[in-house]
Amino acid sequence: MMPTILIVGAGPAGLMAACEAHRRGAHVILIDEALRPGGQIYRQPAPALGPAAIGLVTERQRKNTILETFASIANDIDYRPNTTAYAIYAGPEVHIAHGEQSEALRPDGLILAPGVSERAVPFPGWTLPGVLYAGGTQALLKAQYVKAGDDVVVAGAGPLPVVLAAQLVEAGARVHSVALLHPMRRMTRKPLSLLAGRAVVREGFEYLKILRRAGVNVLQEWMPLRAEGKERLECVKLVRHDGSGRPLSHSERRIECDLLAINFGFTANSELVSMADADLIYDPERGGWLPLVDRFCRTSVANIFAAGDGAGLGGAWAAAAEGRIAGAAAVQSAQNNALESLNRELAADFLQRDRHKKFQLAVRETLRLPPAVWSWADPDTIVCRCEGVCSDRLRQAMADGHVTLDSIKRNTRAGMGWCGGRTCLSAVAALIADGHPSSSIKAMTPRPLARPVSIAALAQHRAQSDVANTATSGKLAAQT
Amino acid sequence: MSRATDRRFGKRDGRPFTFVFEQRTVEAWPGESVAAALLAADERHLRTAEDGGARGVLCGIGVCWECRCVIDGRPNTRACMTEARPDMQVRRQRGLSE
Ligand SMILES: Cc1cc2nc3c(=O)[nH]c(=O)nc-3n(C[C@H](O)[C@H](O)[C@H](O)COP(=O)(O)OP(=O)(O)OC[C@H]3O[C@@H](n4cnc5c(N)ncnc54)[C@H](O)[C@@H]3O)c2cc1C
Ligand code: FES
Repeated sequence: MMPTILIVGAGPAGLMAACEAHRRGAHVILIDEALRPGGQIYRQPAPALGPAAIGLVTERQRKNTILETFASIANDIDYRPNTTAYAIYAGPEVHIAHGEQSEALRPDGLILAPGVSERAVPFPGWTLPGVLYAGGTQALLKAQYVKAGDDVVVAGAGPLPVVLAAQLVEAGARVHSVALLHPMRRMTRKPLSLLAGRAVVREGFEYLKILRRAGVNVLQEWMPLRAEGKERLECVKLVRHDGSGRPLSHSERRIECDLLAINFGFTANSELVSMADADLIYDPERGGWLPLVDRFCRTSVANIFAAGDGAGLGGAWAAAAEGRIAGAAAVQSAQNNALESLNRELAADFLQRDRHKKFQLAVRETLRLPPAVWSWADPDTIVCRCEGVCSDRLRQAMADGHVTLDSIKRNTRAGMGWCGGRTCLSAVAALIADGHPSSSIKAMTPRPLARPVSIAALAQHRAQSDVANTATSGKLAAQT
Repeated sequence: MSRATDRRFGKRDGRPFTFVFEQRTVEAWPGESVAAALLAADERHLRTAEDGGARGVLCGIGVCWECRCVIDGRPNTRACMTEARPDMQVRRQRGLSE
């Protein structure tokens, strides 16, 4: 019988998983909370906005390849945008919501490809309006054709600050400085990895060329000291640091600006896989809590697969390859076929994934956060933005013996607000690890909902029998 | 420093329309999110936290809930995930809900 494969996430990983599973004859349901396919890196504008205006030619080509491949099958699968997976129970049974409707699906195979979110590193003033994540700023450029500011400072670690600064320049913003936590030459510590990712490195040089032409200061081994302003960002103080994240005296620079874009790396969106009770590992360098997966993207739970950056940072190219691997493996497993035959069939995908994961070793050299980063916050700097929990309050709780996330959460309410802890918990975990290096950081017990959904949606929950019915009844109530 | 330059770029189809943010009339184009239209209009402060602190767009992609406003009477509505529509009434949210 034709197995039903449910895929969560329509970024490069989820899209390629959908294509591969469809090609192998599965009935594919693909859901994503976004309105359009593409995920983070290949985010698409609303149709009323014209064709993409920024980005390197090579990146646009990659994007078009992925999106066109998906477009060729989109009408043959059950693709549901604007639909959120908010809970997973044994089975797997996946609960999804679309507006005010919700229902439960029981697929034969589940592929989680939810991607990542930007990693919070609290510092004084980071809550001021005008301090945005760099990826968020980029999302506004890519999907809205709006610059979030005119006079810009970009700060952070890894490649995204450079990429975003160049894209802002292209969009016509005045970018004053890019403050990189680590010198870029750190990547050369892993020369073979650099070679593996030479296509990406070439793009990096293109972006740097754009910055050089625009006269942007690229400061290396600098950090944001504080963001200042009354009710909105007015200026940023940058400072040179000693290589381990401690500011050096007399090196401060004050820059007036209306946008500070920051990115200090990413954390995996692991709420769903954690709720599915899959075994997790904690690896801050690869994205925090990650599902343990084998080379076929199998998690520890039968018929649940994890692919893309959400299963460990690997970048967009690795995500696409991994998506194809997971798509094929999910279908094979659902049909009780051995997976080993895929080794040959998907040799090119394994190669592409391994090459880009190897390149990530070099990227990671520029993304590693030295421990002093977790002392940037002043005692009154807010760490949990939803519940207004300051750094001082967290340290007090730790001094009182609360050294697990669950215990800190109950004691301080950190991580219990609207965002479900997706913004601050990685920072809280890092603070605990910083104060108590010996403590093992366990993922927090997930709350019943991995995402906030409307009460109406829960009330309307369709006690749905199984997906086979779904397949025959076509698109569900969710669409009506 | 509120230099209202044009923060929009690229081509846009359709015609601009307006909605209301606090007492101000703000322009938006078809397809734009409330957050994008407000940033283009140099409106940064979208909610006031319990401690009185001003907050605005952080993640831009629906994760952080820092952009939650009261939109057409519905509190806790994320400006970055809501498409702007003509004559929408958008207000800053104060405290947890209202
Ligand atoms: C804001 C941002 C900007 C980035 N910019 C770049 C860049 O310029 N260059 C680069 O190389 N990398 C960038 N990255 C890293 C990026 O994640 C990867 O390069 C690539 O997009 C990973 O692909 P993916 O398919 O694993 O995940 P994604 O592309 O992130 O796709 C995941 C999809 O899952 C959906 N989703 C998540 N959870 C749920 C749920 N519970 N229910 C329904 N849908 C869900 C999301 O809406 C998203 O569309 C960025 C990341 C972020 C967060
Ligand atoms: S800015 Fe983060 S949810 Fe809207």
